[in-house]
Amino acid sequence: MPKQSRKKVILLAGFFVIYLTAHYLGLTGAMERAARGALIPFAAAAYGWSNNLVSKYNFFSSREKLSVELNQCLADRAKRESAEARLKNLEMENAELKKLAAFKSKKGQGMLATNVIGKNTDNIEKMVIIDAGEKEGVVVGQAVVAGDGLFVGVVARAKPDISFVRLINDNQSKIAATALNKDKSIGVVEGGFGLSVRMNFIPRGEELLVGDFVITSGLDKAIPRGLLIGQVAVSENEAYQPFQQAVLITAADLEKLSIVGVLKY
Amino acid sequence: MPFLRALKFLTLALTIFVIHIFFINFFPFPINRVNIIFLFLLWLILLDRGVKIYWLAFLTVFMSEQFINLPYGASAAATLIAFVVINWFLTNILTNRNGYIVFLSAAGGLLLFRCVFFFFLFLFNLFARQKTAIGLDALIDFAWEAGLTAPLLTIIYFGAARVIKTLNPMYVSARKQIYE
Repeated sequence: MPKQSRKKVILLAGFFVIYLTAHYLGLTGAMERAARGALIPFAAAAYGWSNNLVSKYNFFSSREKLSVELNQCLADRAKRESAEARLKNLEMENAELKKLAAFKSKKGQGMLATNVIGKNTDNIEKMVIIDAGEKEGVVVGQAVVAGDGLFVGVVARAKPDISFVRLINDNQSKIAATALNKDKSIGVVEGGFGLSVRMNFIPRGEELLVGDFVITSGLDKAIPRGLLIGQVAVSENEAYQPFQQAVLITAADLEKLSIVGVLKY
Repeated sequence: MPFLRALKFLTLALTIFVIHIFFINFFPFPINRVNIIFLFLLWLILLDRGVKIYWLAFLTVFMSEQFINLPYGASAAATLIAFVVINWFLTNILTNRNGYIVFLSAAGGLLLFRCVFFFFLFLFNLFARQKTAIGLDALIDFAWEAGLTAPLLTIIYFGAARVIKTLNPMYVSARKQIYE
């Protein structure tokens, strides 16, 4: 390497070391916040464009596949309508029971609506970034939901202006859950490689069927009970394993999150 | 003009950053494992081995660091170290620019980058509060990253070289002289 280039590399290395030292001493916080503030619109725009484009090109590989999916949708709709009717009936019953038992509803629990501005730029962890941080009262451990209470993950890190939400398909995500089957099986929902979500540690003697709903169990300190995680897609009950496990289809599309709510406790 | 040069660097770094975010969101697994930041910066190093690329790399990884939930600086330091080493190899040892060399520099560079990165994560796991789990799936992720980024860089490098060469006025006039 020429002498002049070597000097420049040493200069860069020195600058970088000084910068990192200043960062860990907390001297660069304001500058980094300003940089993040300037970058967030660009990151959010790139994330938005990609989401819009992805939602426009959901092609079907063949006519048969389209036909199968359509029939599946029609069957699902029929089931859902029937379930909605039952749900309304149950809601009325539930309201009556709550009155009777003077049950204190937790509906007053606060929720902070935030925009998803991007994903973790390194693929090592499956996270999304939201535009609310410590200033808005976001703290590590809070549950994050999408749509009508669909559980998507937990706040893993809160900075002053943004926060990182660890999605349920991340390898490090472990959530206590309950299946809505006849045994009310409990287990732990874990992510796998960013691609799948599994419910593990389900007792082998309990019957878990495809299509059973899985909700949060409320055993985690900051995650209330009853948030929908997903549905059982495959149930695996092997004779040589101490527990059975299930592969879940998440209720929320974790790839297309745009607005999420942080549940405050 | 230093100001214009800084502006050019900033725009280029911002463009790479936005493309990276777009790429990881838009494409499904495993295509979204392509490391766009590394790919672009390495391409620039292959085209122009100047030290100024390090500053561009610094600016780009600084932007990326703001949106990573990993120990601050681990990714940036690993990137910069990998680039300095690759640049040295490309200047002093791998001076030819054929397909093998481009592929080797990309694959070797990514391997070095991830080794240094793991080393820094290991150090952070030892001494810092923030722990990062490094499992087999992370290694599979990185295998995809290297396996896709290196061939893509080779294709881009030779595709772009062909266009640049064809449109170069000196090259055109030289060809003209041959045919005349």
